[in-house]
Amino acid sequence: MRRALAALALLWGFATLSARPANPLSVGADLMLSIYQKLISPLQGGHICNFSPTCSAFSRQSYRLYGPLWGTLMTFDRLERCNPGAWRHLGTYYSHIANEKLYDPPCNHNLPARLKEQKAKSKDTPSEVEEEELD
Amino acid sequence: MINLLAVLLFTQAPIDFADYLYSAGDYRRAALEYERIAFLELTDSAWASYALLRAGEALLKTDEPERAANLYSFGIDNLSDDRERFTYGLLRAEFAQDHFDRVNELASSLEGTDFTYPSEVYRSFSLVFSGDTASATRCLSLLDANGFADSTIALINTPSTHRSLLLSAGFSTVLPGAGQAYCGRWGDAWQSFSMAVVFGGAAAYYFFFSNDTTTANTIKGTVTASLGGLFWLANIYGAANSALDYNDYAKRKRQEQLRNLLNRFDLEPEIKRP
Repeated sequence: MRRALAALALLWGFATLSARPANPLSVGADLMLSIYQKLISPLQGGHICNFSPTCSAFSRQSYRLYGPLWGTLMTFDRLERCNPGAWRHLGTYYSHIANEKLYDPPCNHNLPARLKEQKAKSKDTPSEVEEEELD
Repeated sequence: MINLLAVLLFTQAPIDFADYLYSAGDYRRAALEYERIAFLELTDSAWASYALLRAGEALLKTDEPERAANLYSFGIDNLSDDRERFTYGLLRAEFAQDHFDRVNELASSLEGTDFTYPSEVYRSFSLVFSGDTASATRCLSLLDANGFADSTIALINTPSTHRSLLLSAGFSTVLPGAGQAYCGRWGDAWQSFSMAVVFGGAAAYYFFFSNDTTTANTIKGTVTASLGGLFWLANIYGAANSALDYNDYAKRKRQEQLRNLLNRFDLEPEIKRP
């Protein structure tokens, strides 16, 4: 039984590495999240999340936009960030308020895209060594 | 309101109305009025220049530097008497659009004119914003600006605070939440640590300390270990993102400080009525 579970976990790990727009894992996660939003979330009374979009909406968007691997990481990362201490960072890490909550869309946490952007920016600004070489 | 009615009833000069709008802070409408006057009075170059320069200033105040640049370029091409003034206006409009190479070019063309000092200030700040602090320091040290230049030199040569992405991710790999704490996000650090410890601890209990050897125990252990592992990976991912956020914020803060310093220099041109 343990071996079967380990094999299943390994299979899931490999499957998550292939990020495709209509990945079955993304579709499955989306389905589960929609069930959570419709049935479980209302039982909590609403307005418990610190962010806009809420954690479940953020997760659905992440799975749709970035596939199961990054979607899963971004979802768990968001769950770790969703705490009252986040309000201390309004104006620094979170730029503004939307629907009386901290605005935090998935695009702000897409690490590969951010690194790519940073690399492109550093290419635009030549370093002092490069400038000397140009001279 | 009464002032506005008085202007409308007792004066015929549209320029007075535009000036009134400008002084009342209604820059958007003032710009439209000045533009209209400038194109109606093109034959009278003094009034056309005045109106165009005022229109450009009003557009800069309404944060429309692209339109202002078009007006100034039109002035340079068609009203050669005030070429320097229009060039300086264009330089300000290009600076507002972060076209720093162009600012440098225009500042060079204004050397030896009445606008040498303010254009050199803009050139220095363009160099700062484009990352060439050494040239900016050289340029600023030639200016005498009531100590503002010295403050700017001091600021641009202060090393900005920076958080290493690799170090942050590394800290969180060793101790969940440590990377977030390194970037000053204590709430996230505590939550990341708690999640990893709770799920990791539960998994350890089910696998190593529980006397229960049933399938249910194995499933509980696998589920908690998976969740613990995911929280641990996400905490590393979050730590890397936190470092990027920290650096972005430090950069924005520095740029804001520099823009505040720039506002302390007297750079707004004086536009007198003909």
